[in-house]
Amino acid sequence: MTTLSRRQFLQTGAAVSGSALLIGCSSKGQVVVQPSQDTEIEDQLWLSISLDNRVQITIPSAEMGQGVDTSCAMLVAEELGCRWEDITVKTAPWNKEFDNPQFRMQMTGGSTTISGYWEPMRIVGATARAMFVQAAAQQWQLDASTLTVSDGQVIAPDGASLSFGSLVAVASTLDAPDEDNVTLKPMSEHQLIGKSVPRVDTPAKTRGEAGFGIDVNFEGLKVATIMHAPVLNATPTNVNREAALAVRGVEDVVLLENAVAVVADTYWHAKKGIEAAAPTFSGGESGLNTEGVRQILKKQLDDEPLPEVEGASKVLDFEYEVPFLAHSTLEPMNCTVKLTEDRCDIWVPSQSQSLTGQIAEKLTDLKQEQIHVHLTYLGGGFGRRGEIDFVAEALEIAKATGKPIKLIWSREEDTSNDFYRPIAMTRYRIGVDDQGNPIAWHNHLASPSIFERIFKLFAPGFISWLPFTRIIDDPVAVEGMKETPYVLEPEFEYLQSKLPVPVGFWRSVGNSYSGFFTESLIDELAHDAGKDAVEYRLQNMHDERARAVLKRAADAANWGRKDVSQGVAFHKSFGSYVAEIIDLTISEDKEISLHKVTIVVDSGIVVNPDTVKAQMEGGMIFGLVAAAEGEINFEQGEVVEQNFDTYKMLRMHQTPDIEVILAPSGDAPGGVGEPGTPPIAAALTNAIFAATGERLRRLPIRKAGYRIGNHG
Amino acid sequence: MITLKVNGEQLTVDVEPDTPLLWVVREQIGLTGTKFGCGIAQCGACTMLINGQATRTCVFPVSAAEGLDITTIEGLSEDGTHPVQKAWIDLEVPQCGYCQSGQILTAVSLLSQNPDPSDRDIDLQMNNICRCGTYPRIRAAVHEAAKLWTNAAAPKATEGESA
Repeated sequence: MTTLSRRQFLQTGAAVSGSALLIGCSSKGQVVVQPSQDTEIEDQLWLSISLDNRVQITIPSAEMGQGVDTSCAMLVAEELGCRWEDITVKTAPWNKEFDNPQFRMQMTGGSTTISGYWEPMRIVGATARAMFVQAAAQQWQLDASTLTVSDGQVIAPDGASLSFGSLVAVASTLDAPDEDNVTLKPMSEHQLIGKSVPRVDTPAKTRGEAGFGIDVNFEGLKVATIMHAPVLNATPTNVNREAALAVRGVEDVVLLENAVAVVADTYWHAKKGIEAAAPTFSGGESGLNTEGVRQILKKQLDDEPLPEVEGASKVLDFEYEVPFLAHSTLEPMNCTVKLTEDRCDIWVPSQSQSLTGQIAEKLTDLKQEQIHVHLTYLGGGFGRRGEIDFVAEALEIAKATGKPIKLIWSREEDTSNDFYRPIAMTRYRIGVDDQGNPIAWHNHLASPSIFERIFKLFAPGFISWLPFTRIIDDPVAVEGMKETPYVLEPEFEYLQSKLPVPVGFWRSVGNSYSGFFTESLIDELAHDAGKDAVEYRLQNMHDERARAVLKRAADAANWGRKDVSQGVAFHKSFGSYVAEIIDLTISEDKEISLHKVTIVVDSGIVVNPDTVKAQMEGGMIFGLVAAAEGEINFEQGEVVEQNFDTYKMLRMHQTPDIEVILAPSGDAPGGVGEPGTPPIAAALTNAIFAATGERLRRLPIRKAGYRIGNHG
Repeated sequence: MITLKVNGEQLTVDVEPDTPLLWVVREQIGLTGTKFGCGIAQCGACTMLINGQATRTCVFPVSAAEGLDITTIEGLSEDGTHPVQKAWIDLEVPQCGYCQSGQILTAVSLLSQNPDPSDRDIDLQMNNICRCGTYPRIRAAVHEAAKLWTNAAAPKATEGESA
């Protein structure tokens, strides 16, 4: 388990303050003792408790729907012992003291918020609690060990009580306790952790009051929109500036390396402006097309033939394939920048304060202390908002015009200028024994590497958190393939595809395809062995937690029922075990009616159960949409799919009933934002096979003429 | 100059008549609860009620909205306690929340015409995109809102009859 360093935590400071107990951490490793009017501590503040018992908790991660505003606050509140209704939250600024210990930077991704901050945030709460207890002990002249804490009160053995607020003045004069004196509650005493606590952001999100990046506004703010070169990497040749500037409200036309931006008083005028500017572009990857890319991957696999298998009863070969995918966050990319000579403010729906701040440092002459990153709510993240391309553009436009700028992309720009989930093609050669169980497992994967670009851009940050051996072998390209639940040592080789298409982190990353590949393969092996798909998996699984989850799912879904066709898949990712079983029926013209999806998850310690359920529901649907409809194609270097009319999403009428069962075990929290996504594609195609006998080895299923109709 | 009635208030805006109502409300009037998602009436994030009817305003010219009753999420209730908002809170529907203003107003439109919708009715009317996949909770919340709304309306109906 990762904890924040002693430097970050044990030198926690208690500020002497007229108004609040401030638990912060000093960037210089010093105890922070400051009067409250000094704002310096503000940027390093984890927690403050005011005289009137209000508790403000800093959330280190971005709230993008996964519920971290609530679950992180729960970690602090559990140990602090305050009343939940006294809590407010704010999002951390750019400051390495808030780094996710798993990344050594501020990055909300990899389903790591809870696992990364599980100890640090509880220590924050426990530290403050210890100081209040100590303050009360002093006041009452009692031994601290005789005192208890409940509902924001320290309670004496005789029942007398003092509220946190009334103890702030004394507590603020105390030294923060040593690590040895900060004890975390045993699991059995948890009052909040493990209970479904209503999300703190829900009311605002039902009133239109939640502030997203696109909603940022202030006096003098101008709005920009952008047109990127339709052909990948093309550059602007002609722009009709006069026509653009003739549009009402348009103020500036800005040429960027591969794009043209128009600045106006409103988005609508900027959009009219870019249409009038009618930019043309030349050069770039005009020869790029999907079929060509597929041939490159095929050739890679052909050039590295799978080895011969000896000593097996039977040898089976399989090939599977998935396309590029866009993220399509419902809030299009946007970023607001206010840049002056000595200060830069950035308001952005981003998954990373660090990367946002660093790109501003790079593109301006300013230093970190002059750059202020304000995360807004994110209208979806899914990995797309861990990128900072749109931040860089907003900075460039602000620099070029000298004006505060809110850059808003259109949906078309968003879809066609993504960092796509990589295309991937894989081949397996499996040798089975006379019972049909795998005894030889050879697997080659051809796919572009996300990390190749990441290394170039952010080398120091990323290299520092990756063990060296993993750098050589792109860790996300191979996840879920290098290890499988069914054989301990698969023979696996990754063939990196060199393609000009930008690829990025898409919810569950490599698992988004490895779940489909492995669980299709194992289903085929089960069928070939003449065995039940669940039984066969259970027989070959080597991890008890995996087996327990799969069994539970089979029971809950009434596996083997005959009135519907069922498909099953299991996948472990981000430390969590997920089994999904889909029930469906299919009409003769390949219209699928989804009846139900049963999801069983063992994500270790659960902080907020309802949030985990929501993430399983949403994560599964995210994967289902991709399996049914998702594909990004290139023709002459241009992205074919531009908006939701061609890059389709599932709708209410297609959505099946979903039952989520939490089956936690283990002594650490696993991730929940992503693990619901990987299994569903294979569960779907396995069910289609069960219904029709047709095995789909290439996604999306619409390629084979299937479509999702009304749910059953 | 175009005169609009938004959330019960008369407002005059100086915009081109073809400007979509969405952008007038967001940028001229400053109500940002209604969202921009696609610009081609596919996703429904821009949904407002126009004379009570859920309408995708990213393609609805402001000139066509003159003289009509426009309700945005901000105007749905004084304090966020409309039965649909209550149901959304009770069932913890939102994740990222970006689509939810549009989802809520679409549900209001549905329930005002069909106080007790079946699953199939909900399927037909609730056609907005939610990228986070909150559909099952939306479905449940529409049923829940139907109950809350009927209960809230019941005493009023009685008063109406006796008056």
